[in-house]
Amino acid sequence: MLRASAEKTGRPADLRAVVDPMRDPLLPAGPQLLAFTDAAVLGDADEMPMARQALLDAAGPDAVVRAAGCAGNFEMMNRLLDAIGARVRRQGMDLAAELGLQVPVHLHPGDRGAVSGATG
Amino acid sequence: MIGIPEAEAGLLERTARSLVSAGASLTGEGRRDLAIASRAAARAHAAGDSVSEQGEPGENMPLTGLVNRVTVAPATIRPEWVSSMAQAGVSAPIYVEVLGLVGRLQAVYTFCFALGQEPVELPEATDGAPTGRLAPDAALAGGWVPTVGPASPPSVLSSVPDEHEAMHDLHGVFYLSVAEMADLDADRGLHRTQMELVAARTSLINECFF
Repeated sequence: MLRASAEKTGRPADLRAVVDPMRDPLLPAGPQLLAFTDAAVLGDADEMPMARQALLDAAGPDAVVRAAGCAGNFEMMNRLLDAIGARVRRQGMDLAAELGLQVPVHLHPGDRGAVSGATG
Repeated sequence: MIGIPEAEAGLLERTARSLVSAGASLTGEGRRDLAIASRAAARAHAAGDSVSEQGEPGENMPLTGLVNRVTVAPATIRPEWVSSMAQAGVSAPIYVEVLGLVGRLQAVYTFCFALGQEPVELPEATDGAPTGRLAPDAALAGGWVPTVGPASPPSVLSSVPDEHEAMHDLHGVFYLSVAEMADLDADRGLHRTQMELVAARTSLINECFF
């Protein structure tokens, strides 16, 4: 969705920054958003206050609240999708390959790991 | 400290209340116990301590195993393990209910932690029997558990309507509603591109490919 949103709205974005935080994502407050997300999702109590303040200074309080909400929402969605074995779509596979990520076989579009007894 | 806006504060209150109220298959007390187990697993994991994927010994062992796995190592879940949960007596409705519970709990804790706020307090459990409310038209459709329609992000908990609705409530307040997701130029404190940067980085850290 990052690529789709950037292309649709004509905003530059470097997706490689997602896997390499040393890169500038080319979005407003991009480096601060990455640092904030890392601290929040990794539960880093040492880094969190500094990352929060840096994002606040760069983008304001509404941005901090939304970033916290997005991180929280995807903490939920990641768990749900991993736990029900929903398949990754073809464009997701292509993007993963582009970023040098390997999607586990059981999530490939054509693969269905057999689950017995989970329908009751 | 950054204040929590009204919409998010309301969501936190609704979430805390629902986590300790009877669900489709579990009592309020049972759900509260599992929420406490999830937080204990998360704390242990953050401290570098091991977390049992078999669960804690006792009558709730399979359920605490499920809670622990979904809390600290969701990317390691495989179909064989989901089958083993079923063989241990964790039915699909219970499995889905626990996923919803742990997922929302993790969401609100991450949100509060990120804002420097105290964690959500779980109120006392409410009395009442499980509702038994399940979607009659749910079926296996590309996932390991039944869904209403193809297994996908919007339908992931759809076999258990209460969890499905609560998930969409959180999704809409914290991020975007399903309808709003069509707006690639959305701006809610962050522009959509910035929201997606946070989403993508969160998924990378969690080793999730969605």
